Amino acid sequence: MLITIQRTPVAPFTLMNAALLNRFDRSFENDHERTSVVEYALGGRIVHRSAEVRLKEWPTFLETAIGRTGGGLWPTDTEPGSRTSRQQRALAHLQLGGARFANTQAMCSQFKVDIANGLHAFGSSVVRAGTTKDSYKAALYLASASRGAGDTVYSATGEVSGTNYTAGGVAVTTGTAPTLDGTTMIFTPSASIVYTTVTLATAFDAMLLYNDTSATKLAVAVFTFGSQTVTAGTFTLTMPANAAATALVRIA
Amino acid sequence: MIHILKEDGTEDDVDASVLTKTEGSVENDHGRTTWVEYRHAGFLVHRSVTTALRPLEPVGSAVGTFR
Repeated sequence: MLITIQRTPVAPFTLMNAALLNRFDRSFENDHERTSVVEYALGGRIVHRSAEVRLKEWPTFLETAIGRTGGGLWPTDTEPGSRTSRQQRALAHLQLGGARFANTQAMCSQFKVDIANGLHAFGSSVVRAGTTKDSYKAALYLASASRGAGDTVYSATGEVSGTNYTAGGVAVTTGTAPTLDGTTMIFTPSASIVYTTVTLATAFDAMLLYNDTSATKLAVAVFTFGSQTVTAGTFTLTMPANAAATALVRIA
Repeated sequence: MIHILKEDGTEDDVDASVLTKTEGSVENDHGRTTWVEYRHAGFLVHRSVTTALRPLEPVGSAVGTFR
């Protein structure tokens, strides 16, 4: 087997038979990575070194500890200088956006907003004709329907019908663009969804939010609520506060 | 004036004073819902409902590893 070597830091790369070299395999592992290294030496000098670093997930047990103690703080029942306390302070500091002294594996917060704004396309099937925002609608469904996570597009199957209700539902007001609250992407329609002076005599308990601009009426989400009927009246769906803990649509 | 659905299936606007009004609210796993009903001679002629939408569970941001 031929190995690529470099006899000195400024020498050109050359190939040499592995049988003529001394091989050393090393590895180490800590909370953040597992690294394997292979080295080849010639005459006592390292002439080849390859390394493979396998990153690990963030140590979630420490996140719990951080949540309990707060950023930069430590439990009163442990020594501030103890290893555990030092780790907690360091991780809290990073997570709260403090000065960086190490790289941190994370989804970039802005990416979450950009997803909601249609700026990314990992697949090849995304076609956008313009730069204007899409229109969304809210359709109501009977309690006997089976809407849920499996929905891909708007469907009239199981949709309510009655006086003054138009199939497909009503427009949703999207006056507030997706934004970040901390590191969480948040989006909430900017007004209540209102079905005015309708009679919906058969019990309904779900609303499908879907993209009315897309040709196929792509589904966004199904929201359920207590089963209702409405008689010559108005059905109003009010919105939660548009914040990290409460927004209607969130990417945390 | 209250918009009503009469027993014969037609709709009309009538003065609220000739109707019996009931209101209620419930808060459970589905959130908070309030309603107002009007009856005429015991017949439900109007019902409006307001319900608060519950947020979706947030989409997680776990990033995969190279393992």
